[in-house]
Amino acid sequence: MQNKQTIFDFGESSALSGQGTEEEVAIARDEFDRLEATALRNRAQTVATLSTIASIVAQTSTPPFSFIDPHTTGLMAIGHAIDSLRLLDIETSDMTVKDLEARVANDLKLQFAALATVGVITELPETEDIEAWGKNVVDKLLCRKEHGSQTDRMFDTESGQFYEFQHALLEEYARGGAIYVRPTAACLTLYLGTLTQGIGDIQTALAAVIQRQIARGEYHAALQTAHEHQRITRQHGEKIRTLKRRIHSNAGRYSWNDTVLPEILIAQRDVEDAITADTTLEGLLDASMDNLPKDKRPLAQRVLMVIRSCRNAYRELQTLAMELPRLYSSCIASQGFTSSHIQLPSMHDDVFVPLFNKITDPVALLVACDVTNGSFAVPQPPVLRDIVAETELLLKPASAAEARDLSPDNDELLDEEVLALSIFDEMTIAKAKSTISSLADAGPTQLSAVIKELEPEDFTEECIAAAIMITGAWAHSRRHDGMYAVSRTYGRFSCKACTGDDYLIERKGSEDEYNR
Amino acid sequence: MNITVDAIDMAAEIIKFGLSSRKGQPSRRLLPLMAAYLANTDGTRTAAKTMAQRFGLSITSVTEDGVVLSKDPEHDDSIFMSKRDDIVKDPGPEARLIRGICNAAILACAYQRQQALYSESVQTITSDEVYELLVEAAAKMNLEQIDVPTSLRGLTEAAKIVERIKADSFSEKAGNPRKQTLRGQINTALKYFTDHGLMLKDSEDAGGTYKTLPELRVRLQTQGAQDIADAVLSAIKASSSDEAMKEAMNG
Repeated sequence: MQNKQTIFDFGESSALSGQGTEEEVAIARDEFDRLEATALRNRAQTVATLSTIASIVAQTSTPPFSFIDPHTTGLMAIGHAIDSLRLLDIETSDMTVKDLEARVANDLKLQFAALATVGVITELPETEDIEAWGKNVVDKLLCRKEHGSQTDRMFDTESGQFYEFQHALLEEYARGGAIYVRPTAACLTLYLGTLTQGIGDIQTALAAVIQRQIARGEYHAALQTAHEHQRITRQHGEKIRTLKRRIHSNAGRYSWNDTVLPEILIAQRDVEDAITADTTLEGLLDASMDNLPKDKRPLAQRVLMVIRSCRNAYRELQTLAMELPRLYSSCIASQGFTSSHIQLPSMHDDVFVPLFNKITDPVALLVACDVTNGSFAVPQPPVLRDIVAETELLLKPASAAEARDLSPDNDELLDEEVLALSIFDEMTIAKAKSTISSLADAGPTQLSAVIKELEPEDFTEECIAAAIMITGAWAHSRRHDGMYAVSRTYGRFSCKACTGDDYLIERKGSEDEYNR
Repeated sequence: MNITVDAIDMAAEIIKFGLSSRKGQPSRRLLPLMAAYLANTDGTRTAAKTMAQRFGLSITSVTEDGVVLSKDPEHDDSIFMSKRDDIVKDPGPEARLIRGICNAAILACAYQRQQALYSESVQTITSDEVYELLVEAAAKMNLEQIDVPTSLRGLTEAAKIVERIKADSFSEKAGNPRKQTLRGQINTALKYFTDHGLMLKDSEDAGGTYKTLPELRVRLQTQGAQDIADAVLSAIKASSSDEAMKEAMNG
């Protein structure tokens, strides 16, 4: 592997012409053809990916939207997405689809203002229309289903076969229940212009360019190049993280010797080169800083900052790349053979179409439907609906020893009032009782009404006491306080601390047989 | 292997993550847990798997996005288990049939291409799109069965159901589709996905626009998709043997 690579590494291959036997030339020829085919495939894929941008302005668009320059608009939108990537945490961006739409709308406004100035259009379109167009542009770049296929059939000259090529410039991804947008790996490659050369080579070349620009004192140009260098650092990170993701998702699918190890070695080598280049640049800038004229210093400082941030990012990537072999082996161990090589069924062709068109037996259909429904069943922890237990938890988050002291000493069935006394003080119970009786004496009332009376004044404990007393009276088929009949309704009551079935409370007098 | 108390603690925490409702940012705490699980530090993975199995659960995936637990097929009486009724609240087979057909259509729209299940990209689907897929599929069946359009005899069970409930009807007050209509049923099915952290409702456009979350993909990738496809295959087999028997009796 290493040997083959050095053949085309013209920087250090001056020995090639001296020692080249015929056999080596033949190998080199094959290798060259292979590289050519790869380059051709990359270029074809680039054009396919690019075609999305050209379709931003459809032929059917009406003026003034037909005057938009789709290429600049598309590239600016992609630029926003790339710039939103975090340098040190390269995979994640903080840009939502809505943010991006707003930015694109802003870009469009600039174009319309320019069109109005030269008189191509007489008045600016409505903000609403521009916003709708901004959304449209983002949808196109995301290659949403309704905006055309993401898949093209392409021809590979190396194998002489057609293959399906899926592409999109931007993609949405979920992080913590929210959806963000980020550029795809293909988009980064395309936008950053590394079509056929390795990223490591490009970074080294850029570092050389910056060095030259600094030597000549062209700090503006150097800053521009440093920014380019920074963007490619992001792309580099994306490449290494893609490798990590692939290992994570299904290590078994990638063979260690053919795929993983070479990629890890290349990644490690590239990162080392980039760090060396950045360190050299940093030293150069540091050394020349004092000798600079004053007006050049702020610019030189900025170049230095950008280079430093790149070097720090590369340090992180270096750690990441060094951990990859260990990650691979632990993933192989944990994933085992379960998920590798399993061809997943197509949800449209293998599930929906046959389910809809081929199943005539209702019983068999029901079985299939139950499996379909059941495969999303999310395990749920059991929910306790024990009002007494919940109350105890709420009011007494005490130690286990204290809780034992409160619990009854024998197994005798507890009267709810005895238990209540162990939880609430007498004032609380008196307040709850008086509220119930004052409402019920005036006419039939409900537990929810009692709660409503107590809760706004922060009598939460009283609410719970009232709920326990009324629930207890109903559960024991007994009158509350000897004279209030309690019957359950279909409604519910709720307060800050508890919730439960609602009860109707009616005053029935004390002559009842249940009266104690 | 010696399993340390720390490892058991972490194992319990992993299961807790899997059981808690997944809303908001994934916690930073997940990263060390994930590392310990993948590397089986001090037996964390062994402990977590054993504990989950005793509860009737199996750990499907532990990633930065969260922990996905699923039903352990060999354990039927766990208290953590979702019952069929949790998914379809209405009693009777009718509701289960409708939900199954809606779910199949939702999945077909969300993961239209097979590669979509492998890709980490978020998939977007709309309620309108699901409705159209179902109604068009039924209409196509209808065309092929020109002889008996009124009694719907000859159509497949799924097509009959769609034909029966496809007519739109909206509530007077809020203008929402009524529950017993196809649109209402699709929305109920989508609500299950959003309530359980499997999808996210993005906007009200096109009858409701939804996006898939990683957990749904993980569930389908690891087991769900294969289970569903197998169930459909065996239902087709049952149908064809049923047909053959009818034909034999008629003949």
